[in-house]
Amino acid sequence: MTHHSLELLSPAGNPAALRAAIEAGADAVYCGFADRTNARNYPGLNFDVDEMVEGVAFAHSKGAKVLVAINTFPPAGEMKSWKDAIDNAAMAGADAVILADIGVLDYAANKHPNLRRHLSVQASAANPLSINYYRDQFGVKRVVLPRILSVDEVAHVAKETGMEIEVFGYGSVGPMSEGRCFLSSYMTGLSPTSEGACAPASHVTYKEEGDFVLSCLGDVVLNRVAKGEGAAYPTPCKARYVACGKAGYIFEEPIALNALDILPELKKAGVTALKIEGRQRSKAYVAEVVSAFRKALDAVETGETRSTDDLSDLSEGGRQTFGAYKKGWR
Amino acid sequence: MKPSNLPAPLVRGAMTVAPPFVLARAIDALLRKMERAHPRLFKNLARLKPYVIHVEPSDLPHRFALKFGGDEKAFVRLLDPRDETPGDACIKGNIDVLLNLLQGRIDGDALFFTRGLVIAGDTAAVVALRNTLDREEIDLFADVTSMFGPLQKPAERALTAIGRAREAARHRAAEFIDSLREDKTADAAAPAWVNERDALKAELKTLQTRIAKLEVREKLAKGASQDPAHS
Repeated sequence: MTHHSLELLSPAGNPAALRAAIEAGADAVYCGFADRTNARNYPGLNFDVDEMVEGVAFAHSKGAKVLVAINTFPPAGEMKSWKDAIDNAAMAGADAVILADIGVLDYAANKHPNLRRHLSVQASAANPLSINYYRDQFGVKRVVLPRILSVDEVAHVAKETGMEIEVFGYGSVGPMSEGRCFLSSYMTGLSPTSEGACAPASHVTYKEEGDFVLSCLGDVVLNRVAKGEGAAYPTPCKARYVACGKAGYIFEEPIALNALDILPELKKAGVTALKIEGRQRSKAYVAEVVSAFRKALDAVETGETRSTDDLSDLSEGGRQTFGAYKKGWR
Repeated sequence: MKPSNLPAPLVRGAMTVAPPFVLARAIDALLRKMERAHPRLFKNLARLKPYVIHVEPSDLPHRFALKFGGDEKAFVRLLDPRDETPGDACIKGNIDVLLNLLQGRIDGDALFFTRGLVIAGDTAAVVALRNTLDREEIDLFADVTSMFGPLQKPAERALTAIGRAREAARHRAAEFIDSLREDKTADAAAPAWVNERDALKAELKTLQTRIAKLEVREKLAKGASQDPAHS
């Protein structure tokens, strides 16, 4: 496998997406088991144990890695699924597990000390003190930074922790601090950090109203989208609220993060791995986004100047942003 | 090699003119074929909760009911136009979009963002179906042509030729329409400077767009603090 300074990490919601990602040039994929132990718990998505074993074998045969996300928070008295997930990831030969809960981290560190541990974005560790704690207590090797840091702040964290730094390069962007947002639970009665979805499909409905589509979560109408207008995921943070008689996106607009044009800056900041969001997306999405980032990362390595691929068609709301990396609103 | 596409106009035309009983039999035959070709897909569909999803191609006069889950074999039924029994959920889009979605060639969320796909009813049913289909490598072109048995190769060649002929016809039609537009401009007997002015205007517009894009790139390269998406 060609050595790349920035590791390209792709989502894989199923075995077909895992193959598509690796064939499109991903250095590694991240995936989860088909239960609530990971933050993309949707019906029909994710891997059973046999599929995980086969997926890891396929990835390794192509020189790619598999990281298993076990990044939700177990409710009291229900640890078994999380323990099983860690044991099964170790048995499948996964290259690392991505964890958030300190109890789960402790279990993994003690039961499988040789299984690499990454700190999930769900842990919301965004400063060196916090990150170093996870490093020192649980032997965490890599931290996935929340999407709330500027490039300069990422560089500061990298310098102060000396750890592998993973950041998001593309995909859905939320304004909330990951792992600490419970907004949707007021509409669904389900905890997004324990159940693995902030907009559980069972609670989402769409209704046509003339040329408009209403998106609802529970009994709450989140948005009313006109024909030709870019739609958003049905989450409370992307809802359109009426304030002072005017409807608008108060928390976040329907928009996707896209760091394609700032890859050299992220590399300079000390980023180890670039993560593409979207285990809930299709293999077609995975192939197209990974391919675009593979070309761009290769160009960064060779110093070549080239136009980056247009991914706006795949982006939420059809629009893209650098998100917090640039913090242009400050 | 990337699988060939079934020519959508041919599919649309055939499904539009076929009498319902012929269409129903063709669907049964294709489903049986797919069951043999994709046993894992049918196993995964059976594992889901039981659902009935209505599929309504916006450019066809037919509606279909897809029943799956509950440990039973999935099947597709042509709905009687008078049948108003609601399904658990409904998916609407043109037949080209629906066929590409079935084969995992386009992203369902991207279609949703642009409203190329409209869903109603129980979203969990649609998400479960979409995720289960996406696990499979479905190639309808291969599945359909293999139904011709020993005539599979001639069928593949015929469908490929039809697809190519359609593309060529579309190209020729576009050229013809363009030539009509040009002729229309000439018929107006406008002075040459008018045509030249219009051509220059068009060129200027293109250049302005390119300049704007380059300026954005320049701004980004300089690490401008203002994020264009939030400006």
